[in-house]
Amino acid sequence: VTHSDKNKSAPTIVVVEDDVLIRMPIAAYLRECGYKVIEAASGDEARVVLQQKDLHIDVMLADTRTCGTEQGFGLVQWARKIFPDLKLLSVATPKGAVAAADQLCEEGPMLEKPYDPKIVVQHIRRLLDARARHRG
Amino acid sequence: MSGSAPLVKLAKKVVLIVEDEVLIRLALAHDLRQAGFTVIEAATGDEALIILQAVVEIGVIVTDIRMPGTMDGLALARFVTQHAPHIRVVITSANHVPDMQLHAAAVIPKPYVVSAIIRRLEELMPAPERPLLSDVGRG
Repeated sequence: VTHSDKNKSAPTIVVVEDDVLIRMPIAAYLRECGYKVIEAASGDEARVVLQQKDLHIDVMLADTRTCGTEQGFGLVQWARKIFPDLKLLSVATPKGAVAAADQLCEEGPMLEKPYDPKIVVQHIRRLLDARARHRG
Repeated sequence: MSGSAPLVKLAKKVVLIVEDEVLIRLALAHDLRQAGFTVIEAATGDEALIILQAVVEIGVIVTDIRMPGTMDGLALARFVTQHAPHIRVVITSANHVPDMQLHAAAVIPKPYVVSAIIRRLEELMPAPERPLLSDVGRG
């Protein structure tokens, strides 16, 4: 997923999820849908990836309960501050979603686990369309 | 791998990468996908173990040695040798670790060029259209 990729037009999604049995299938599904996908197993990994200047990441799909030093909503709020052009799609368990909604209502859509991969793609398309319109 | 070892017929070319350095993992995964392999990524040996219990089509594991968690790459290789001997293990390591040759089909020192890994994978996972030793003489 670099500058040298032939398919430069495909948006890049970073999937931040510490449960590998959730991360693996949603990443595979998004690749099937034509997106470039980077898998991050923790908030720390996501930070490393986001800070790589040659990886142009368009959307971050992040479980708000990511492991590592980046707990809860910190990663999402940090990313929003540092990368204002990044589109965010947050995921939480039904129990966590209530708390997350309060903190992230301005940060983008919130999905409850378990989620339908098709709904994820719909949200990603909406976010990218909104960004394209904003850029004019 | 011994040259006389029978080739195992695989339904898919699935490679499990086990690497805790995210930038190394994503670069290797990307290059292997570009080379036509189906790739599953694990950030630790513990994740790899979970994947092994859930995914049956894995042909080769490419694993680092030093990783956080309860299972490093060598322990993973030992586990695979004992419990899933049909899966080949390729170890990548910056350091020599005793016994790593015993549990691996190949050991590739770090830093590596990806083409070296791809060559080994192609040897270990023949393309479906390529004649397999088990098919020779049938028919």
